[in-house]
Amino acid sequence: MDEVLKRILEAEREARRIVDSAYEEARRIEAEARREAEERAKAVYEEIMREAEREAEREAKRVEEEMAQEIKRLEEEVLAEMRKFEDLASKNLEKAVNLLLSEVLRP
Amino acid sequence: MLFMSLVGDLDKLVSAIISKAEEEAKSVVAKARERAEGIIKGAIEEAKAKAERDASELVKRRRSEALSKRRSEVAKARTEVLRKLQDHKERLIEGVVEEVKRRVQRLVESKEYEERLVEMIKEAVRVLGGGTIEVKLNKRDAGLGLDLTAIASELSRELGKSVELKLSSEPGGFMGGLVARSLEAGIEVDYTIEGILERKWRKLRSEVAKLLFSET
Repeated sequence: MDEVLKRILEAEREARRIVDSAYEEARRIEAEARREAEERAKAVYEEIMREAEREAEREAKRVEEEMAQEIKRLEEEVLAEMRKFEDLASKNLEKAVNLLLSEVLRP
Repeated sequence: MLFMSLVGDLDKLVSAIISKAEEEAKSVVAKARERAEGIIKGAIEEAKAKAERDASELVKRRRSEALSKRRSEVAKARTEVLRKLQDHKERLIEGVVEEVKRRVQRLVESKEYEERLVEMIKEAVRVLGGGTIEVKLNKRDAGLGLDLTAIASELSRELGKSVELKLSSEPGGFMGGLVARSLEAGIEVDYTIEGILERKWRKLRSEVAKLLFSET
């Protein structure tokens, strides 16, 4: 009878060892998963942020190009205005000079 | 026989205990793997959601900075080009005065100028109210030989009081015209071309500019 109990107790101990080992393996798997989760989450975050940086750069460049075009357009408009005033001044110079000249000898 | 049967049952029992333990172990590991998958998936989803929020914020901030810079640079450029345009117009307007000065240089050598100079002397005497008046002319005009005595007599009759005109011994450094000074009252009038031009320019500048840039 002692032999029977002994074998049953041994089997129970082996069963406990198998289950404990499984829990140990489970803890290892979860710890490994947390480490992997942290690494992969970091990689995913960084990749999205890198793409955002690239998009922000493209956006800034686009705005800068629009700005350069707007400034160029302003300068061209002003150059055209300057030419227009030059033409008008050239056309009306005689009248303007005569207006002033007629007054110069009249105190 | 009984012993053999007992041994067989014991083996089955031992085997059942081990099998049950192995099944439980399998289940524990399987559940751990399932949780591990969940941990990884959850962490990735969370990181993705945070990254998307941060990325959107980053792009929005950079766009806002770029637009703000654009507004500021365009406003600066607009001010600068408008200043250039204004300076250009000013130069064109000032060009009228320069042209008038060039023409006056030619005019002061004409007979018409000589007549105008006499009228200017008379006007100065009227303004000063007669009396003894010193007339300062430039070197060239002083050499024209104007009859100041005759002018004085004419004005004396006109004003009904004594008028004496004395030519200043010191010539003026001006383009033309005169400076007349009442020796009794100690006041003078500036009828030099430069003085008149400056006063008229102040008065007529906007009219000249309007005329210069008129499209009609």
